[in-house]
Amino acid sequence: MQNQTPQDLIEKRLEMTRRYFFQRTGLGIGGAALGALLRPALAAKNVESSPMRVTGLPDVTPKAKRVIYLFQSGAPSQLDLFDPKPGLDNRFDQDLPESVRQGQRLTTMTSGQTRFPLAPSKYAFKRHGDSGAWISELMPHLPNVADELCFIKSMYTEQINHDPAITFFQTGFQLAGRPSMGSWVSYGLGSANRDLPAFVVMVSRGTGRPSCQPLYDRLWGSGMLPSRHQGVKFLSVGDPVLYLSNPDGIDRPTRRRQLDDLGVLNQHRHDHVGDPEISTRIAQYELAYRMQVSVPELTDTSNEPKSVLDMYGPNVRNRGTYANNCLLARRLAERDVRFIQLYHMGWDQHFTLPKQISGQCRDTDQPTTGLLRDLKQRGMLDDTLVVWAGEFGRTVYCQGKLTRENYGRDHHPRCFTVWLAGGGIKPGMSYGATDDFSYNIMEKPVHVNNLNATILAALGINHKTLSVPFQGLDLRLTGVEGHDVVHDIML
Amino acid sequence: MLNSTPRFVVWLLLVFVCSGGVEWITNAESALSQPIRFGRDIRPLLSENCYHCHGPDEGNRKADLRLDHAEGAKEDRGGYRAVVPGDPEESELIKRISTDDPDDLMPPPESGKHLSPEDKRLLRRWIDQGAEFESHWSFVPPVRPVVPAVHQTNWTRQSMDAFILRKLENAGLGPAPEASKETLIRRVTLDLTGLPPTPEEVEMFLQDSSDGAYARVVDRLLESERYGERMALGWLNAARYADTNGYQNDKERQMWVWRNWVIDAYNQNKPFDEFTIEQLAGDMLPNASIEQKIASAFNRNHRINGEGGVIPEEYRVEYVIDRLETTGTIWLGLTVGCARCHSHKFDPISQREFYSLFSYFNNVPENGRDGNKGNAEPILTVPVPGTEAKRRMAEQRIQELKAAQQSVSPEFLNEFEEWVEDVRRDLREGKRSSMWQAATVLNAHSTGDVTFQSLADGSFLSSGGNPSNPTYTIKIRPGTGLVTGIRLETLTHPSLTNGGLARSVNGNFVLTEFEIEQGETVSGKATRLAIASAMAGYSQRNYPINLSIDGKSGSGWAVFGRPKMLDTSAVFTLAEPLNTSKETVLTVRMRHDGSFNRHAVGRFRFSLSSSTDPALEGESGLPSNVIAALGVPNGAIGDEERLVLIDYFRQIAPVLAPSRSQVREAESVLARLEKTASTSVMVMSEMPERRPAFILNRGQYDQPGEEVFPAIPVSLGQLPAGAPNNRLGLAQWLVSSDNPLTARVTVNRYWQMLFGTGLVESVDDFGAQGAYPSHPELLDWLATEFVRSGWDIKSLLRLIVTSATYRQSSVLTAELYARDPENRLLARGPRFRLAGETIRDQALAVSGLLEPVIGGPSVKPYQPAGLWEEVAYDKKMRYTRGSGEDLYRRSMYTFWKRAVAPPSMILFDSSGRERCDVSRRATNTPLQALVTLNDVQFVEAARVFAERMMREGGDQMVDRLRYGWRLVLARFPDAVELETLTRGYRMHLNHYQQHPQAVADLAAIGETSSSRQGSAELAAYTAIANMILNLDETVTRE
Repeated sequence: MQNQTPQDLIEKRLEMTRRYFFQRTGLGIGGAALGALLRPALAAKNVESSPMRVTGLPDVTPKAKRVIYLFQSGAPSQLDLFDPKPGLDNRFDQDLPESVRQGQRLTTMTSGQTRFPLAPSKYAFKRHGDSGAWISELMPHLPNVADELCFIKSMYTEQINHDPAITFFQTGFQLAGRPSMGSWVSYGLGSANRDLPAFVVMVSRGTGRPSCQPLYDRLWGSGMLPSRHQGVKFLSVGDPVLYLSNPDGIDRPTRRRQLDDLGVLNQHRHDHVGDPEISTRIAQYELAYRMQVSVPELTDTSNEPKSVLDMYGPNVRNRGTYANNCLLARRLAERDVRFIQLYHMGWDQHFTLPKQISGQCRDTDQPTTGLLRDLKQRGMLDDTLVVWAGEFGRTVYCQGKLTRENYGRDHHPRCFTVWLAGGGIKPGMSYGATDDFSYNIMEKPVHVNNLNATILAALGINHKTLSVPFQGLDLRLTGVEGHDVVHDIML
Repeated sequence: MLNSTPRFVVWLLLVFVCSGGVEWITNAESALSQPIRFGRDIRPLLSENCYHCHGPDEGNRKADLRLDHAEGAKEDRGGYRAVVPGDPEESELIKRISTDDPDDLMPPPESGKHLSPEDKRLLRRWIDQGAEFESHWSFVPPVRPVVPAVHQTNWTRQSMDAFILRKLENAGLGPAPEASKETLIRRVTLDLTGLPPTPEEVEMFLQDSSDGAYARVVDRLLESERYGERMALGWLNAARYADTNGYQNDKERQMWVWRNWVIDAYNQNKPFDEFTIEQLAGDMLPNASIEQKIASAFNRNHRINGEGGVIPEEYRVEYVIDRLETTGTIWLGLTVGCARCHSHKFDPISQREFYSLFSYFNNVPENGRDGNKGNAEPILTVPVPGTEAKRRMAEQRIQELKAAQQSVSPEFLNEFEEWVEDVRRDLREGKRSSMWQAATVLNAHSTGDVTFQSLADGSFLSSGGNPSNPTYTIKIRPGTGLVTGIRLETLTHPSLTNGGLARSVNGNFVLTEFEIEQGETVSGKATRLAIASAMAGYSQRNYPINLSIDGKSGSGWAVFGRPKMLDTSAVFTLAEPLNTSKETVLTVRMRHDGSFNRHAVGRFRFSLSSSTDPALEGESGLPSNVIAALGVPNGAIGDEERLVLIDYFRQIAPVLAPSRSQVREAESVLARLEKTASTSVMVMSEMPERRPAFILNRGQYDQPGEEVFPAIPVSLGQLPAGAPNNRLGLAQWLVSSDNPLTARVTVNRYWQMLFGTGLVESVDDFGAQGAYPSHPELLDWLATEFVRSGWDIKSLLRLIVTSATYRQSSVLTAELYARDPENRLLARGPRFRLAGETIRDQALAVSGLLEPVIGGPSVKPYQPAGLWEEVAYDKKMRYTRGSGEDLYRRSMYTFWKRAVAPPSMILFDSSGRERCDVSRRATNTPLQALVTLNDVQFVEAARVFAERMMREGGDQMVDRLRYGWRLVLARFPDAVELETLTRGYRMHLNHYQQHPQAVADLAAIGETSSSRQGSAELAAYTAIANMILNLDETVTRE
């Protein structure tokens, strides 16, 4: 490229213009019109099928085409679910040794406690599957898919309170305002479905603790990325997507007539003023019209066979439940939606943990298991990455009154358990380990940024190259410091 | 060629993202002819690729090499130099960027940075031409440039245009013709007021062919109060204004008084320097007025945490940093926040200097964990403008209505006689019990500043102050007789929270203790009476009535948990019946202690019983004085007794029912007014002693290092002479004439408002990583003009919108698009999508629904159901939609909940109001289409707009369609457009004539529906109106 001819420059300019254009538009549809405007030869190129994405991605071999992220909001107790510490049984109500605690900062909810009495889990653990995965009796269904799971027992974060910790998990930064992971993926890889958004969010409320930690729209916000990368939240009441339904009195044929006229008038204006943005708008109105069919078709589960529904458990038909959301997640995955994020609220068990956590597990255990089995039997688990995580763990010492049968646990960021399954992750393994108190990490610590880098890697994205310039920095999901992919858990 | 190599692609993307297409074209094409300029051509390359390791941050500097100033780049490094002026071959920099050896190559391949061949050529030529360094352009105070000479002199209207034209002529381009008058008036009206012009305004402008016609339109718009609202909207985004605290439970706050201040300031054309000083340090001005203190609320708009477990100091530090970052972005256009954890990598702000700036904002007497309270200290209580007059009117009305009730009509007397007979018979026959008699209350007091209002029904309503844990003391005179029990009625009232029983957060109270004392004088000694038992008509789970007589302050009786708050009674039975004399005074004490803040009974009434077994039920329904006046069952009634009875009967006489309900209504109006008579706003204030500030290692609140003191970064200048070294001095420095940045950054934001893109594209970054100005001389000319005019905002805007540049048509040719897709050269007028707020306001305006009230508290218009509930900590966090005018106010008044921002705004790229945001985005998505097609707000507006077309557009269908089109677009439809409208209308009409149900459904949408009749015609016009509101031209400013 040392000696550029004027023709080279023009070519480059055209390409840049196209790129500029695609950056603004969700899909390449309008590109044909623009191509025609600029150079007829380009118009012949079919850009309909080449949705916008960051060119050059994926830049490592992708294993997963999409992610289903089952976020357990409020922070589930690793001690009662996946990280058994049988040695604690003999230490009931004894103080946590100072050598273990090492004076770390605590939330102000327990920093005033005079003692830190150890609270052994009341639940029985067993090993399951060929892999011998430890799962407590709280989750009787999950053992059926034990050999699909890859547990990380050595997760940690720096955040000790919910709001910053969830924000960090989802955006790589503790204060709100950065793009969430789904937005990054949408930005990086674009949409693979021309009738649905690339990033969908669903929220459910736990029965274990109905008054619980709140969520915030910013958790699926696009930050400084264009707003079309925002997660589209499917709602549990009214329209599944905001403003999706035609108003009463305007039926679909009437809407079609309106859009036909609108298209004619917009095209007429385009002919006059020449702004390619108008072509995009025409295309976006048509996409909206298609979504009015594609979304209800997606959320209509009446044709699902009973055998499938049964896998997800008794709540599967109830809109807004975790079970229903899991089923919708599979249907979204089938339609190649890139990033499907579920939030299940209610895991913040400071007091009366056993009562609350058993409710949470009733909500989630069977649907989660059902989702994995359903994906597996359809052959979709190979290219769908499923992630199960909360924002931090819970303490081994009791918050509030301690008995063998009843106890509470405060926030614990220093170690907790998450699991991944499918899409490029080694099945049937356990990674990392904690000490005898599930208080400190003994080996292979995994930071939230490592986890996020690994999820991106499974999608074929080098987390160091997916960045946008912001306030003078190359901003990325995984921060500026060196946080690498956890290669050991990848296929 | 396309996407052939990844490198090429990266380079393209880099060029696109960093400098914008045009700048690149300019660079490439001018490369052979123009001299290299360090600031424009070289610094961006070095900053992007080299400064991370060879820039201002010493902590990260590699090989002890600095390339951000001449000394570092040219110093002798022991036999070689990075840059040898005039000799590229000898310059190590050129060798290192050209080598094939990956170990030596710069930037290192693993950095992800990459220099294109074009970049390398530029660097080589720069060294060849002498390797001149310049200070970064924006840190050098602007000097008023000479207005350039141009060829097409008949085009320019003023100096500003010459700068634009010169660059166009250099590029071999010419300006576009002036836009049509219709386009122009719509453009400038939307730009300056955020609303479309009315048909009358359009008509007047079209008719006015005299010279100053356009200038007069501009003057009119700048004088319109709508101007202040429009300008305030942009400022709210910058100032991160919101109605909630933003963390965790996201409690509501009150900051709208500050919003009023901003609107007023713009409308009064407060000079930008005063505007700045009052908002940053109004509280510190000598003899600061209430308005100046309110202005300082600007820097309390940040989020405030209230989550249970957070460490207050951690978040207090975040608030200070938020203030600093906001101030840095808005006035300096610098990303000072980068220096929080380490010295700035690109701009000359060290970490020490960051914390020196931090120190200016660090002295607010605040608590980091106050976010669950609503407004957090420091707070200013201010009277709400205009309420006093309204309150007096309401009081007068109540008096008039009551006076009218005093007249005694024959009907009233008839009813009265009948009632006396009935009651006496009932008492005789035992159908009415006389178990409870209204107590005569001598007085009622409370700790704290609660005042009690005595209501006509004998109850007392708490008002005035609302302290956390008040204790009420009520003196009752029972009269001669026997008292066995006291009944407490807690009553609902419209002035209480949610029309409930208390002024607490949810309308619930917790009565922690109820005590009774007996004395023989009002103020004399009293003895405590033992209470044997208590019972209540309703108790909340875990809050039974007996907890109010358990002697413990941490427990009590509460009544939450029913679907709706209802009147609820409790009865306290004395252990021993009490014989009372004429002098006896009973003192009732109601305590509201414990952790339930403000959970105090809001309205109460007492009655006494002499029955041996006081029960909850058993109303006589009559106060004791009435029972007494009725006399013995058969005896005669004297005149005095008769007056007592008539007085009482006025409260229940059927004939007076309408009058009473008028009084009640008037009283509730008054109660509402009194509740809103004053409000509070969070403001800045300065502690007497400066709070020590430290360099925080890695930006962590708990890792203080060396102590620092307030100071301005050295590279940006120094405080003006005589300015105090505190927040006030900092504000004065920002608007001093020596400040290199403030005027440039400010005029650039206005430029962005009017042209869609700033002269400096990165409106929030004027540092080394920011974009170079497209027209540097013009920027400096405008900046110096702004200061010269006395920071006169209206005159600056007038200057820009009356320029030939602004008045160009935005029609685009393929040639021009290819040449300058982002319109950085301004060879045409800008054409861009309207803000979401403006799109909604426009729909309300053209329909006539827009409610023109300016200022006041935020309102809650239509919002899809369930959005708040779905994510809140419990399902009770509901969005309670407003009604009436609240539905049709301008969008800038829509309640902004940070956790769930108004969806139709966010979908149109509004700032999330989490942090300072001065950028502008205008994406184009299908979800936006769904809003304007289907949101009830827009559909209702379309129907009312259709009614207006039918009402005002004439009798003919064609005229009505033309009228509607013009209402929105200021122009009439052309033949093709009219033909499309007409055909569409006929098809819709045909459809609706056959679908009466659809007609009725469409007519029933929105709150305005009830008074309207549907018809097939209206439905068809509504379908057309709905479509017009979705035209690309409608949502675009052309």
